[in-house]
Amino acid sequence: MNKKKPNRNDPRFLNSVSRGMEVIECLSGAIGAKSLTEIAQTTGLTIPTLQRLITTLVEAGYVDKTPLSKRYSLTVRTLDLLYFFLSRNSFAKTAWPHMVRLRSNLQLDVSLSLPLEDTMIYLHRLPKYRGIFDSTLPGKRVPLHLAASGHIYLATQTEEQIKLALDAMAPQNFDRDVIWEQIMRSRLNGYGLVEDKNPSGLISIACPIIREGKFKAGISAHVPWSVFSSTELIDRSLQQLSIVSAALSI
Amino acid sequence: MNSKALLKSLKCLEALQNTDNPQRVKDIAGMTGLTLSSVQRSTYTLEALGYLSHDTDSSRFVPGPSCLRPAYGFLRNSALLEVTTPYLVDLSDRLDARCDLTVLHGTDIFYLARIPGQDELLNVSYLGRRWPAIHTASGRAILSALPPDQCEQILEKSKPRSITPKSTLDKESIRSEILEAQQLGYAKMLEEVLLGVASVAAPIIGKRGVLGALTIGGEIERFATASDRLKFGEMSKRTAQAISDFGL
Repeated sequence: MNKKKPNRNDPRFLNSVSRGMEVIECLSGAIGAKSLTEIAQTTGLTIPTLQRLITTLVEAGYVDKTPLSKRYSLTVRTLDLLYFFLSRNSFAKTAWPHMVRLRSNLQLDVSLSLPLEDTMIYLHRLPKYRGIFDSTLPGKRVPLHLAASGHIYLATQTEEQIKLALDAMAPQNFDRDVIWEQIMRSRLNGYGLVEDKNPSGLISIACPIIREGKFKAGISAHVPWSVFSSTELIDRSLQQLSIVSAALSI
Repeated sequence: MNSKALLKSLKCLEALQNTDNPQRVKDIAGMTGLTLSSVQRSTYTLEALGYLSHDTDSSRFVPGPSCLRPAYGFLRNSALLEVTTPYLVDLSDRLDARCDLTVLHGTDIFYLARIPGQDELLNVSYLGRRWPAIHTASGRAILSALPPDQCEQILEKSKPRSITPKSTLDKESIRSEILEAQQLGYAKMLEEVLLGVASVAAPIIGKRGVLGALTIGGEIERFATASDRLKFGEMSKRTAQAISDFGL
């Protein structure tokens, strides 16, 4: 079936649904509960519009209001959506036992991520190291240029596509030449490598999973940079990562 | 005032969650009672936003990757999960067993974290999965720590289901499991949600009451005798106590 991909300019596209999801995503990106004013600032929506959307989201059970502070946060009900995806996605299912074995063989944090717009979104994350809470959660999105899996994803694209992707990310502050060079190196090496030298930062390495000639997902291993150097991480994990990426690239 | 269009779209998403098979526009209309054109516009929009996607070469809908996003915000803001995760990783390592954190919502428990054992190649339950509280060790552990009237209310509302041939269907037996959990400090479940799998769980208590439960699970053979269960049960109890000490 050759159908055009749905887009926002089609008359069938419902703006209120898009805005409602924007509110959910705004709350998803927030630390702690948010007030109506804060949500309005982030989304650019007016207070009356927001009130209408939030009433609906509360009614549907995805958002909760703290009675005293009148702030809004997401409810446990959001996990239904996560489960919906994980349980119906045959690739997520196929990959799981491989991820468990990989984590056990490597004794490292491992993850599986999919490209989504200008980010990679984590599908499975299996922690081994304790301490970095944020890096144990699925559903997190990381801009392509900051994720090892994002680098190896871009490396499988044509130069024209890479340019377009980097253009789309232009407002974010990064050195385009450095990223370009890293992507080209990833293409040569067959894996992506990203070092985050923040105090709690990770070094990540990622191999591509290719299905029907197209990039499907990135499979990564992560380690606090205070534990291993990049070379040590490559020595320890590359062979196993390549085996799993080949096994899943069928 | 609410947004009718948004509510309808969320209804479509929910209908798809309640069926195991991919569905077409027509089927979704049948399940939700919405008109065909409402469903068409809803699914079109949800697809454009990445919440729905098409099954390979068919007109049936499957979830899209945007479905992964809302849960991230909920999980990241859960102080309980943040405190518990390192304990789960550590415990799963030492015991080579699956360790989970669950919370109660209505009459169901939800998985917030699942750390697999070394050889757990069969995925028992995905993150975010619900189970009826009364059939699980963690649900019974949470119920055992609730005020008696609340526990009774949830028992009243719960409908026992034969998820496996071993599921306990009679509420009196479930009550005595909860009572036993109160006495021992941990609850158990033997093959009631999946054959071959058992678990024990202990409640985590916060400033305002029970917050969730910590579960240790694995093959039924490892939980076969009372002394096996005592070993894992005590482990779950001590770890849950350590987490309760944070006073969340």
